[in-house]
Amino acid sequence: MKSNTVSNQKAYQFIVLPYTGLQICRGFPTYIKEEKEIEKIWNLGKKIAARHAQDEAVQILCKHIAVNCEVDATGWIPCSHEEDVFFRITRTATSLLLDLLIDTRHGAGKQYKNKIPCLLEEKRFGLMRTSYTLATIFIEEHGEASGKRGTLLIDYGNSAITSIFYPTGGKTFENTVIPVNEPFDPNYKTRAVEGKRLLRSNVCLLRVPTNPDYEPWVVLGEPAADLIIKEPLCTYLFAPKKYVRHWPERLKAQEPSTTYRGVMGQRDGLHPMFRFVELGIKQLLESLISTLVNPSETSLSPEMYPLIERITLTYPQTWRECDREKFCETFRKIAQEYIYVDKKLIGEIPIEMICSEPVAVAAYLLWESIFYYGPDALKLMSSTLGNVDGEETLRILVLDIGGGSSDIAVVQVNWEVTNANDIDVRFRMIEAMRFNRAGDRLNHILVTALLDYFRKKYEIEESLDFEAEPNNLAFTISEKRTAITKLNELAEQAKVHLSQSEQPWLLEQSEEESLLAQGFRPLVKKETTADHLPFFELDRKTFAEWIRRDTQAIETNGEPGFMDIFLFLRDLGQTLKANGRPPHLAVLSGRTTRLPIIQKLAVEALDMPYHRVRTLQQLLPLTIHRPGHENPDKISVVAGAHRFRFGDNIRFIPLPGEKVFNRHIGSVRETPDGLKLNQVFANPGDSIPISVTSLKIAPLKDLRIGHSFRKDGLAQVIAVLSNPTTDEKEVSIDLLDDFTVKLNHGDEVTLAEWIPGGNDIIADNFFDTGKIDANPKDFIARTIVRDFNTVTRSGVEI
Amino acid sequence: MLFHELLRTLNAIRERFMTSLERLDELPSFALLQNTSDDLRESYFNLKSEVPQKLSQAFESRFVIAIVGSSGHGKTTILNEIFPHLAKRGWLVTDVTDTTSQSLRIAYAPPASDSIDKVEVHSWDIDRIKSLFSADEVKLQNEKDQIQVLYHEDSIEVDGTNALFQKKDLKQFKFPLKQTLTPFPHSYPVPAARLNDAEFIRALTIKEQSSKLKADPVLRIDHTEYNSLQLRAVVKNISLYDGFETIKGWLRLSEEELGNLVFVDTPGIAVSGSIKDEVLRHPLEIKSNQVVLDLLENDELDILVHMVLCGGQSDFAILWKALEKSGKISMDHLCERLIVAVNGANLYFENDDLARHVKEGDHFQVTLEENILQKMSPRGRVQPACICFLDSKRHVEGSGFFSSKNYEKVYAQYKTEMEKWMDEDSPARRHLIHCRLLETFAKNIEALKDASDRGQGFLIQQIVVLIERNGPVLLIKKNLIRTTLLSLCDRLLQLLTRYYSDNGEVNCYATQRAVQEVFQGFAEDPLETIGNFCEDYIDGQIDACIRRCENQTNWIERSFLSCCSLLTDELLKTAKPPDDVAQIVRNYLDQQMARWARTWGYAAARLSPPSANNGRSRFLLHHSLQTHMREILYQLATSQTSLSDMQSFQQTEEDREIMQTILTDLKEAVRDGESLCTQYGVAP
Repeated sequence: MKSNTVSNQKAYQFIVLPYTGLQICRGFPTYIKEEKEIEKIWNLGKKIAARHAQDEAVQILCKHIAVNCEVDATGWIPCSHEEDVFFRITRTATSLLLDLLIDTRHGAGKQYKNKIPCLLEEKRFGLMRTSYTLATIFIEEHGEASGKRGTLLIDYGNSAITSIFYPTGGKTFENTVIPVNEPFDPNYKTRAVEGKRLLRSNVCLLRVPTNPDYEPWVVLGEPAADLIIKEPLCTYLFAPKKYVRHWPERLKAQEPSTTYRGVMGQRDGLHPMFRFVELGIKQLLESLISTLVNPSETSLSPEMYPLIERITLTYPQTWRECDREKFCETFRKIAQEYIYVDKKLIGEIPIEMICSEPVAVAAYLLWESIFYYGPDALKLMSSTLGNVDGEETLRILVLDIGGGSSDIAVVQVNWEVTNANDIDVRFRMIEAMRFNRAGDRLNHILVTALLDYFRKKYEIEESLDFEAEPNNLAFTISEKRTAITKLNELAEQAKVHLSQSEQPWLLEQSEEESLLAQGFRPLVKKETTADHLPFFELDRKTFAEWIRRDTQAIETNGEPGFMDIFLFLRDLGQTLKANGRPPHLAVLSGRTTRLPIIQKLAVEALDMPYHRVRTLQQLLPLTIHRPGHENPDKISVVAGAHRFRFGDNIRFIPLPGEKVFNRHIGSVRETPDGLKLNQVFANPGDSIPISVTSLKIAPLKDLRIGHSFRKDGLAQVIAVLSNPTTDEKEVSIDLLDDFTVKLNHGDEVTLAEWIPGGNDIIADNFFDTGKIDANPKDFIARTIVRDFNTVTRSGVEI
Repeated sequence: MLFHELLRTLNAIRERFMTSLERLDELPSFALLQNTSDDLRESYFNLKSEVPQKLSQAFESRFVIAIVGSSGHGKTTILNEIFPHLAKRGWLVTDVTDTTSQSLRIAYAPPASDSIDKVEVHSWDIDRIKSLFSADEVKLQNEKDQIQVLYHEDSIEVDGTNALFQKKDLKQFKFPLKQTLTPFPHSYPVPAARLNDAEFIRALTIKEQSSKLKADPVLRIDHTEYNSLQLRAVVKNISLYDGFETIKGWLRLSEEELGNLVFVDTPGIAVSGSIKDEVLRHPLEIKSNQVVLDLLENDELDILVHMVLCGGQSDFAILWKALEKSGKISMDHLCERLIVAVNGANLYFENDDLARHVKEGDHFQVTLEENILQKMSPRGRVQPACICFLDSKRHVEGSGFFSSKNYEKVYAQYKTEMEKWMDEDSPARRHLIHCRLLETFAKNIEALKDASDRGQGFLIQQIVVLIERNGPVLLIKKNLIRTTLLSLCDRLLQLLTRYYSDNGEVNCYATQRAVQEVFQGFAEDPLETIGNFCEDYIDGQIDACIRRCENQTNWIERSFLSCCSLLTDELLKTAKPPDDVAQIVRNYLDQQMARWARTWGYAAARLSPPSANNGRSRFLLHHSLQTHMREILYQLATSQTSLSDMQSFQQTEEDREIMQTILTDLKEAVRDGESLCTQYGVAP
């Protein structure tokens, strides 16, 4: 056999490390300079690529991989069968370049010292062969790369994720938030860095190999949101964190599940939602490492390798120990499997659950304040933070309204300047609560109002529920998804506008028409325009009114509304005052708190002045001028966790919680005003734990256990005891703290722990289901946005 | 060591404060003001709820000295030799290592006095007993062993009937598997008839072998009987008295000085669980540490003697970590009242390993630095106030029939060797210097050599020296700072001066009428108006106020006062009240400014003045001033009493006089307290 082979000695090497996710190198140079040869190779490349055009992986890459789609390029060419290693040739005026892609998690991509040629080969005249090695991909050992020891800190939020890589022994400020590269992002060029730093948490499946040994390709962040609109049947999680929950065997049947389907490929049956949370976390860790190794996706060799010594996580305040353990274990398992560990340094990567999210926010605020005021002006700092009576301790209430849940925590802080000018900051949590109502609830209300408006103006009757069969068959799930995405975008726009301006928010005619042309296209006539009455105009006052109306109701089976956060705050504020420890300062964190109404509601609920109820932006005037800290509410949790762990000379010492109950705890009954306590078992100030014996449960009945601040105040359910038998049962329970009930004795009686602040883990998650205002049906429209009057352009109500 | 004068001053401050509170509660004008002002009522309520129980009793110059150490480090043996009378009575048990977890509190009583034989047993309250069971590790172990615990209001029921005990363990059990733990309703004075009852004393103080153990009740209080297992869980401490005869032989102390010394023998730290504790094995495993922690957290200890066996390792870090976590005690302050006592100095010569280190000259490096000082705290090396070496006759001479050594003779040999450690060319000298021991080491050797002292007398002397040297600071920190007495006096004074003038007159009516007049524009929504007012009239001028002051001394305080003046001017300019009203408001704000400057930290804050290149401190101060200007307006707007109620109120002359006395008392208390702090270098 004769061959005409261009030696691979000339070809440049793309050096990668195993377990660094999908490694992309765009614009990789080639040695080909001669015009003739360029043409020859280009044509050959196109020819070979065409042969693979129908390959499953190639089809996906063509549409979804993060390479420049505007350049003149061949299709993708696999380097080898059954390996996820690909290249394509791009052409400039004078040269040929390559886009390379290798999956370093499997097969050839994780074999040390493996050398994979990017080969163009053509057989001619039977035995003759022409081949060009355009590049080689070399899998280097980790030990050869410049390693950088450090800690990975992650704030895994409901709606967004922020991460920091903090080098061991680094300076406190050496901790910029990582702008995560998403390998499956064809629009990577137009993504703002801010969006990469604040990575949206949503997860979407792209490619699902039927072989269970192969992991699917997963898309995160904004590209996932884009993808689901185009591919509405893919498995998609809007707020994955909501599915992190420990399900004991007896409650396993209640665990939410879904299909396992990608743009290409699927697996049989239903799978727990949490499985996809795990895939999302795996993808996150890989993308983080990949970004650190190859930050611009143009590096010919690893810029460095992060030798991760620990992963530090924050968690919602009221996650139960078992939920925290599940979250921690998931990271541990994934880290063990997918992150390279230098065994000379550590055995395995420890996962630290460093502190709760509101504590991290408080730590961030305190660290930054102490840092700037310094040890000689701490009293001034303390009084500026609201401790105006010169008390020994500072009490900070953190109201963190996130994307999918709101946390409230009251921390009591004191500090001591030691002889060495170090500052020991002692923290004690004195109250905590969580609500499953947050920013997405406000979106839900706004989306309901907008949808209502569209329905009335354009006589749209179709349901957006993905499961509802459309009357108009053209109104497919894809259309529904598009409509929901657009409605949600408009809701976001409205929120941002109302945060920044005192003027009402007006739905632009172009936006309205855009929604008609996209999501609602099959439902309206082609020539329909939006230039006629009525128009959608929303002012702050009306929006505030809606929020105030959103409270717990019999209809919602006692599930709290958004306003219940503030009713709870009111009770909490009064209780703290009565106990002689009112908060000095309320810190508002989370994007939603930028709405002025949130500050007003908190002021009213807590009976505190505005200057003591502030956002982080208002509280940290110097910090926000530091690069990367312009929007402190976005990074406060991860940066706070960092300060908590590596605070330099400002050391945070968490103190154990008080061993007393802060609430009344008892059985719960329903009243027209909502849930209230019936028989009280524990009162504030009683030492924990308390056993309740001889508790009788009627046959086939449930007994709800709840807590409240006032004996006759609104109660929150914390546990449900169910007697499935036809006999009366006597049980004994332990009340371990304000949130935890343990069943001691009780044959056949089961105990289900409820999440205080709302048990529905997917509340307001209309994005995943299309069920707008469905729980119960039309509740928002009837109760909250009722009487909403849209207006003419001149402001006259219709 | 008596500090009469200092104690008098401290008690005078305490009395002034407590009397002020009592008087205030009976003062008609104050009652009316509380009824009409939410702010005053809440602030006063908060303040009162922070008054610690300790302030209701007179301060004493009593110093409580705790001996803390791990089990097996010879703590009780040393105490046995210091208090031979108690040892003879059977209260200091050294023949077993398995002692119960409670502290022995040994106070002085003249030998012939009635109290010398008094013994009292005190129990924990239900919450403390509960905390033994609700500790995470105990909960876990009990669950693992399937020991059921029920938490009732006044008792705890422990049920091991279904527990997974090993059969061989079960065979040894003497007590029922179900135990109810109830705290004593009151302390238990041991009846005279049982004072020398060896069986009773042993039941209280040690965990007997199974073969010798009786499950019968040991004592009965009211209607509740307690067996020895239950007592192990519920007893907190036992109070004993001793004539301090040995101490008297070492030091010349007056009766009063002796009366000021109280020794506490704490249970050994870092003990492991014992099967002898049967169904209570898991909670009792942590009890020893809890007893010591309790004493420290409740500030019941003044001086801490950490005893470590020579060559042994310190377990103090366990306590240190727990104390840091409790947040109730300053670890920095702990070091200044900490003595490390190295027990068994003879081991430098008797123990082969240590003897080798002695030859190499690094024995202090190993026994002091590495084993103790660097191990005591998780945060690095600890430098105690004092380190000393001691020994026990029993250990040096050996006990029992075949004891042949003579303490004095043995130490005569050691002394020569030990003295060489101080030589210029000795490698050990460097360590003595590093541990700040060189100065006292010669005397320590002398004391060690003396069979009647054995370094024990030296230790007591060091305690006394420490008390004499640091006593005033310890007393001030303990009574004035840690009780927050000084801060409470100050806060109460500040609160009252918002409503009363210096001569005790209720001044708030006129002031508030004036303020109300000025605040008419704020009426609709005062909270929102505050922000708007500041944005319109104040915020833009703060920078100029700072710039005017930033080159002057006390630029921070001056900037604040300048801003306050600006606020007053702008407020009056906007409200345009009549001149007399304006004057009242101005006077009132002038009076309050100094108070705010102090309370809000402007007077004490130190920030580098802004420079051309660095305006950070100006920016920071600007932020504080913006906040505080709003706070001033908020206080003015919300501290208004209901004027209609106040209008009809006529303050009596007696009421005024009482208030004047209260204000004078509080001012004097603050002044005296601050001057004590200045005099003794204590940060207020």
